Amino acid sequence: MDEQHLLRKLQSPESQHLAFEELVRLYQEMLYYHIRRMVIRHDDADDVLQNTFLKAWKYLDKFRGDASLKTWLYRIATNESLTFLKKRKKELHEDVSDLQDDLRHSLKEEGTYFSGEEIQQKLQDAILQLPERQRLVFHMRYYDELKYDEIAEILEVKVGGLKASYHHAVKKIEKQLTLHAG
Amino acid sequence: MQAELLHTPILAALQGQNPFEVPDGYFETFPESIQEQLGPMSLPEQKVQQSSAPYGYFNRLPDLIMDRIEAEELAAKAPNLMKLQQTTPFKAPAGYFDELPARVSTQLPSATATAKLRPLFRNPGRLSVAIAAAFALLLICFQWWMGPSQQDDTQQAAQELARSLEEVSEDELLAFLGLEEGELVQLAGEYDLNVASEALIPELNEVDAAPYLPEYDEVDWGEIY
Repeated sequence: MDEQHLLRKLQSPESQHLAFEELVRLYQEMLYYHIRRMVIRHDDADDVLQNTFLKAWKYLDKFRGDASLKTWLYRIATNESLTFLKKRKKELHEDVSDLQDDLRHSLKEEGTYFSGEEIQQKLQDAILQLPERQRLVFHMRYYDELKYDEIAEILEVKVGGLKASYHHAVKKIEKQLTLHAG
Repeated sequence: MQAELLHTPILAALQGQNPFEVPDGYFETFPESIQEQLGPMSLPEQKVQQSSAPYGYFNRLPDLIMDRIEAEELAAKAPNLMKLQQTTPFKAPAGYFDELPARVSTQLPSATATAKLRPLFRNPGRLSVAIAAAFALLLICFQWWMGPSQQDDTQQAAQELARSLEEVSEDELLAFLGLEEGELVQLAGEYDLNVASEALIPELNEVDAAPYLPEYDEVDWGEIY
């Protein structure tokens, strides 16, 4: 089903529930991993993902079609992830390092559905030390292989700044990996 | 033309007739005879692309090239990172993606607008006051209709009635009027009585209110780090 067809079905009260299920089916994996890389724990990712889709349903009539559904959903998922992390940070008494430590710790928890390879652990550890924006940009470029202009549309920032963010992120991660290798 | 030939009657009489003739069939065979004289056609051949690129290839090419350039730069800058597989190490529990669409679907509010009505009267005393005020209003209208001579008496009667009705319980009033609570509110609505207006305003649920909320189209960076 192409996006226009799906949108038409979403706009019709008779078909919108089924069409929305189709939308969830289409985008769930992509959004899950985007959220999961941000919040780390599966249970948290599940909550944020469900919130993302419920928000999408709630604001569906406000979707103007200026961006693609994918971009719009990515944006909601990003916002929901950031909101979740803000709340988490508050629970951890506003300390940034507490939040980073908490996320890094959760990588090592049992039942986190993480591949567990040591090098992957080190990579995630390095990614979690990045500032929020660099972390987001790195994920979208490195793992999701989104184009810079797509990322720019999702995050509403300029492409030039994104490229710089990505290159800084890569440099920092490499430095961490080199330290580990050395 | 004929006017121009008024002074040359002989030419005018000839009426521009063509005195020349051609052999029979001349014009029918003329194109062929010209081709015979030209010999075989020797127009330059148009260049035809023998091979073609896949659809959309040239649109994607600049991106492909830029990606390659970037990948090479990164490989030089971050060899350890580039050696790693680009697959995400996170996994979802088995069957998670099979079940999620149904789980989300059960949480969706109805597609149609289902405005939740507020309880008609949150304050039980308010209904009595509303009915009393409605009666008072009716009496005032009656007084106005009867004319000025009756005004003082009617106004006093209305005030007394309103006072006494305040002491009557809501249930007693409804029983006296033979109305259900909903019917009374409906009547008040039909006659545009201000007293019941608050009860007649439905409480918007979240879906109805959504169009009035700011559009969900911005990334809220906030302050995390």
